[in-house]
Parts: sequence; structure tokens; C-alpha cells
Amino acid sequence: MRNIWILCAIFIFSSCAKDVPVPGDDVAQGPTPLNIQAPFGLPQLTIPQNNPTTLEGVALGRKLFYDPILSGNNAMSCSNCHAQNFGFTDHENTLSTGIDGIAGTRNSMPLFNLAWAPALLWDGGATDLESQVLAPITSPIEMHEDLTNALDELNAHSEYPALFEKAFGTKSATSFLLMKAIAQFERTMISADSRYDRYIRGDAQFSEQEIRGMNLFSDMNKGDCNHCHTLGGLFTDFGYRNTGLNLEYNDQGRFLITLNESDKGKFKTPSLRNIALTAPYMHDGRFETLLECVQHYNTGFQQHPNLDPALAFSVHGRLSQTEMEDIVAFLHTLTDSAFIANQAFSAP
Amino acid sequence: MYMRTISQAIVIFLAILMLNGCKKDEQEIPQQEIQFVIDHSSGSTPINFFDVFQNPAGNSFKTSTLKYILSNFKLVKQDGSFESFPNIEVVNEEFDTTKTFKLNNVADGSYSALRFSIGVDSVQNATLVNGGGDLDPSDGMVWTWNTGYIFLKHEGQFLDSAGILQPFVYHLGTNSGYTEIEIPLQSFTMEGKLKTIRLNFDLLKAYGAVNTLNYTIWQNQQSITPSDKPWILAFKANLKQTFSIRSIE
Ligand code: HEC
Ligand code: HEC
Repeated sequence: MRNIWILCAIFIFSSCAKDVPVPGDDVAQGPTPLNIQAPFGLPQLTIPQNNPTTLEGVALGRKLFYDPILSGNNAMSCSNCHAQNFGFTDHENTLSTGIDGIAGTRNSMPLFNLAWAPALLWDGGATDLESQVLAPITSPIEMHEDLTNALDELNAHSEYPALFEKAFGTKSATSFLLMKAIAQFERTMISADSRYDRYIRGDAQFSEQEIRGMNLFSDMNKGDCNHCHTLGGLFTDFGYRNTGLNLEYNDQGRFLITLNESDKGKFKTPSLRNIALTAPYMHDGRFETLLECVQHYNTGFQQHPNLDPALAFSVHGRLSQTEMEDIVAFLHTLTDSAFIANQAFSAP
Repeated sequence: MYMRTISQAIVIFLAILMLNGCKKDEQEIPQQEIQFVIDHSSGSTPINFFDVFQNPAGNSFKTSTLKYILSNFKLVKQDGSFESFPNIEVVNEEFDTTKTFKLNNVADGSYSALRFSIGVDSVQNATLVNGGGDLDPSDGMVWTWNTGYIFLKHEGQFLDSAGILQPFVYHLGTNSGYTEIEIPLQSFTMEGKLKTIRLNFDLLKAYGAVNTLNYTIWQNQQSITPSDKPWILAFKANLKQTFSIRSIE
């Protein structure tokens, strides 16, 4: 009897609201909610309310991520520039080509722990994962009919309409649902099981060199890497900084988004997790090795007017060769082999 | 068994009641709507994609795209209070259907001004998923690498000072490009009837109402480079003057 009254209440509420599915409707149960948990060591996670993660949504997003159907010539998928065995970055091209003039100046970015990123891309130009999805699919200066074509192709496909229905309760693929599905998949790509993580949990040992490297990483007068690539957790604070790679930047980074002079040459601080897998390095892919990266912070950085104070006040040549090698050894402990082998993220 | 049948009957009864209730409500609301019809002109001549027009700077030009987003419609009362409407409209010179739209459920009363904006406000501009309501990114009014909507597009060709045909591109966007417009209304009273407001958008004003914009100097302005900053301000000041009321019926 009580159940009936509850049912009654639901019925009454739903009879006036359009969006609430009426119980017993033929869109059966709806998608299965997937509760993404922040693993040990990573901060709390918030999933946007307008795109709750579901098993079916993630499965659809994964299929789309690997499907060249989203590209103009049906020959390129997200995975072409974001390959799992390289931490979801592009190992073949220093500068990713095929997007547009602007992205053509940049090195592909690794994809993991994106659920925590307050903004996407080297310059933070994309404000959420959903919105970012469109950038590589379409010509980024502005949308051409490519997106419409992609949607038409999805709607005419033998499998996709059923997958969209499972994930979102409607057979028709729309821009919004496409964006949501891929973003859902991306939010599940979590990496927090490197040897460093296991060392912190007490499940793995570090060599003496790795321990020295870790200490140098945090030492304000030495590596001071911790200042921006926060030790532990996400290994970044997501701040935009000028690291003195150039005196004159061709790609002005954050400035392109804010048009503030003080943002010239600033780029989003990347995570250093899986860093040994994601060469080449920096927004323009200029460095091939981690040692070159450390050398840059030791002696390479230039006095750009916007150079981050943490570097501007640090001593040129403060690290010895051995110390630089120690830091590199530590960086290798951040590789998460389980992540790159995880079948849940590989081509379906 | 008996209990269940009764309860089921109650459920069905209530459901019917509710459904009917909803329908009735909708039917009883009188047609208090404002219909907008928008005309695009170059001075007093209606614009089209074939004829050559002249902007205030003296450039001869032809339009190939004129498309913009209108949002945040408000009807302002004498005492400064206002009615807000959720409409977000993409107006496209190419498609007549986009040039008429309605504000629904306009309360009776006298209004002294009409407010609306070109573009979407900073909250709506922060995401492409439902940020602009139903604005679909495939409609072409978005930037994807710098999340946000393109508020206005005017593209075409013009003759430069050497007499050579050149393209021009004007894309207004970013939060600083958000343009609020206010048009005074004279003795405008809603009284339970449909009203039609015919608005005119004058391209010549967009290029010269306050600041004269010469296509030779401002040829490709996409709101994304430092040189666009002064342009955004100059263009915005003009845009505030582009709309006028042609008629109210
Ligand atoms: C042609 C190569 C290429 C393809 C294809 C590609 N990307 Fe990327 N991706 C890049 C580059 C280059 C960047 C950095 C661009 C920038 O900063 O402007 C990037 C950045 C990203 C980022 C930002 C990561 C961060 O930490 O900020 C995400 C997310 C992303 N891509 C997802 C995708 C998805 C999803 C697809 C498929 C729909 C895709 N990419 C297809 C090259 C590519
Ligand atoms: C002032 C903040 C700051 C400090 C200090 C800093 N970094 Fe960085 N790091 C950045 C930023 C910002 C980038 C991206 C720069 C770019 O591409 O323009 C970066 C990029 C990198 C990259 C390349 C990442 C990739 O995905 O391409 C590596 C490796 C790196 N840093 C390692 C280190 C190490 C090791 C230290 C300490 C010796 C350090 N960083 C100190 C801010 C910092």
C-alpha cells in the first residue's frame, strides 16, 4: 500500500514535468550510474551535474575516442595523437598536425586525471572536458559543417544509434551527447598507481638515487620542481607559468586566451605523472629527454619579463650533473604501468 | 487483490486528473506573447548577399554572412523593475525563419524599455554544453579551442584602396564583446494580446554609429588578438546603436 502511494506521488510529479521519465516507460532502466572514486593519494573529485558518469556513457565515449568516424577523412581518431602506451600522448609528432594553424604549433598532451583539471589545453582555453571535445573534431578557428557531418555519419551508423540510446535514452547523436560521452570516458582515465604511489603506500622500495631525486625535487634551493608540479597527488597545481623557454614566444600561450600582457609565454603546468612515457616535452615538444628538461630549469631558462619568480630568483647551475640525474631517476618512478596496460582504456 | 485494484484505480484517476490539470492550465493562459521580426538593412535599403553597399568609411562591400546571437531579453517597467525571458536566438540573414521569434508569457502592464544583448553572458559563455541553452555547437557560433560563443559574424568582401577585392571577417565574442542594448519604448502596454515588434538592424550603424570602422584597417577582426581589443570596444559602441524599432502592432 505504501509503495503505491509513493508511486502515486511520483506519477503526480512526473505528469507535469517533461524531463522526468515516467516509470514503466519503454526506455527501461536507463543507464547504469558509475561512481568514480578518487583513488588513494588524489584529491576529492567532483563530477559535473549536467553529465553524470554512467557505464553506457563511458563505453560509448571510449568507442568514439578510438573511432576515425569523427574526422573529416575518416582516417584519424583521438587515439592517433593520444596513444595509451605513451600515456595518451603523441609519440610520433613533435608538433601535432591536422588540427589547425594554432594547434599545429603544439605538442599533444597526455590524457589522464583530467577529471581534476580546471581547464584544458596548454593555454587553458577550453573550460571543460565536454567543450574541449569539439576542438580536435572541428576546425578550431570556428565550426564548419564537419561536426554536422560527423553527427550525420553517427546517426546513419549501424551501431551508434543503439549505443546513444543506451547511454542517453535517445537514438539520435547530437553535439551535446557526443561531447558528454567522450568527456565521461576521459573522466575515468585515472592514473595513480605508479611506483611512487606504491612507495608512499609502503608497497614498494625506492633506490637511494630515487630518494635523493625526490628530495631534490622538493628542495627549494635545488630542483624546486615541487613549487609548480606539486609533489604527490596530481603532480601539478594547474597554474599558468612562463618558464623562460624563450625570450620571444611565437606561441604566446595563456595570453591568447586572456590577452593580458602578463600572460605572455605562460602555459599550463603539466602533471609529471607518466612523464617518462610522454616525450617529446614542453608545449612545443622541443626536448627529447627528461635530462634536457631538468637542464632547462638548471641553466637553460631565459629572463623573459614574465619568467616565473620561482625561476627568476633561482641560481643558474644550482644542480650538479649527478643531482640532475637523480631527479630524472625520480621522475621515472612516476610511470604507471598498470594505467597504460588497463584494458578499460584501450581500443574497444 | 481488492486493495490493489482500488489503489490502481486511484493512481489512474489521479494521473488523469493531473494530466488534464496541466493541459487546462496551458490553455487558459491568454496569448500574451511578443513576436519579434528582424530586418537587416544597410541604411534604408534591405541588405542581401548580391548587391554592393557602402559603409560609412567609404568601403564598397558585399555581405556573405550576417549571423548573431540575441539573449537576455528584458522588458523594463517605469519603476525600473523588469520581466526576464529565457530566449537565446540565433539570427541568420540567410534564413528567414531565424528572423522571427517570440517571447512567451509576457505579463500585462506598461513597459518603457526593451533590453537584450548581442551574445551570451559570462556564465552562459563558460561552457559549450547547454551554456547557451539549446544553442547547438554545430550551428557554427562557437570557438572550441577558446571555449565560448561567437556572438556575431559579419563576413564578406570589399574593395581596398587599390581597388582589389579583399575578404573581411568580423567575429565578435569573448566576455568583453558581450553587448547590452536598450531601446526605449513609448507607451507600450501589454493587455492579453499578441504584439509584434519589428526591429531593424542597420549594418551602416555597426560600422559608423559612433566609431567609423574602415575595412582596410580593420579587415580581419576575430576578437582573439591584442589588436582586437580596441576593435571590440569600438564595434560594441556601434552595435549598441544598430537596432531600432520599425513598428509595433
Ligand atoms: C592531430 C592530433 C590530435 C588529435 C587527433 C586529437 N588531439 Fe587532443 N590534443 C592534441 C594537442 C596538440 C593538444 C594540445 C593542444 C593545445 O594546447 O592547443 C591536445 C590536447 C587535448 C586535451 C587537453 C588535455 C589537458 O591536459 O589539458 C584533451 C582533453 C584532448 N586533447 C582530447 C582529445 C580528444 C577527445 C580527441 C578526439 C576527439 C583528441 N584530443 C584528438 C592533439 C590531438
Ligand atoms: C615555475 C613553475 C615550474 C617549476 C619550478 C618547474 N616547472 Fe616544469 N613545467 C612548468 C610549466 C609551466 C611547464 C610547461 C611549460 C611549457 O611547455 O611552456 C613545465 C613543463 C615541464 C616538463 C614537460 C612536461 C610535458 O608534458 O611536456 C617537465 C618534464 C618538467 N616541467 C619538469 C620539471 C622539473 C623536473 C622541475 C624541477 C627541476 C620543474 N619542472 C620545475 C612549470 C614549472
